[in-house]
Amino acid sequence: MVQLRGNFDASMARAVVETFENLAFMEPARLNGPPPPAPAEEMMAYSLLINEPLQGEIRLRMPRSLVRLTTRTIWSQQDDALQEKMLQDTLAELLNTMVGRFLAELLAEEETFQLGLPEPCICEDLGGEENACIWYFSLDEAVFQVVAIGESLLAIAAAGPPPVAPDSQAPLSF
Amino acid sequence: MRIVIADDSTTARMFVRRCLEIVGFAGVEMLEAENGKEALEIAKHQPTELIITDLNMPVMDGKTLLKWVKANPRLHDIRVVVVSSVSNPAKAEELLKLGAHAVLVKPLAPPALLEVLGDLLPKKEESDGSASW
Repeated sequence: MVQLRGNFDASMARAVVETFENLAFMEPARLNGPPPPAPAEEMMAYSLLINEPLQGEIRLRMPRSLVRLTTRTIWSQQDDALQEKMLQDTLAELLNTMVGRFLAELLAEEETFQLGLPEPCICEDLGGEENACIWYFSLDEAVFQVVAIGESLLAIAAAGPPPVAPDSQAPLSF
Repeated sequence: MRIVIADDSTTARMFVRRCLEIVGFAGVEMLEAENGKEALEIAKHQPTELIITDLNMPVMDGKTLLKWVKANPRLHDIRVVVVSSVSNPAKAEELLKLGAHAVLVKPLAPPALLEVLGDLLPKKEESDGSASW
């Protein structure tokens, strides 16, 4: 039984914002739902498996132009100095960091967790997908999305905010 | 003084390097490794005072690196700081018991680094030790 202490939705939203703020000094704003249709743009995506104590997958899907901007900011480089490998690595590290923060806040303190290694993925827009939980963020006039997939993750999401424990120090079980 | 930074992400290694420079380690030799095995090889062949390592890496992870360093009498005194996204209080306690000097959470922040490495800062003539963020 996995012990929880945080709220699924809020934990991810906070993890994403804090990761961008601390790693890239950028401030994404969460959107309440899917953005209005926009001109097609080339997207980049990375996937990271959560192996323990839950099983699931988190994907980070961003417009390439936004990945370039973020990479340029983190590396303090001119745009023409950026290499494809740097873009890929930046996206992977953003994902790795935000998922770690998400789980650290979601799970009870005594729960350890194990992640896979970030891998590039072909990630279509999952906006209409029922078997996914999606967060949208705007940053520098672009929109990116974070997607959670996997039955055990989605079951937590579907359960909504954890009830208030009689003893606020006591972790909540799921 | 020599510092080894182990992380499979070039972005993360750059970020750690930048944080070290900010807190006062600019000018100190910093070598980079893509995994624990590479870091261990460097430490075996070049005197090293400090290893800053990620946990989740291919080939050899940070926990295994820590165990190898602490089990080797020649390397035992190297200070190992773990910087990871997969750290929480339970994991930190486990790593500290294995001999980690400190366990910090990604993304690394210079004040947190300064707090655990302040005593290793180069002397005044090498750096004024000032840290701002």
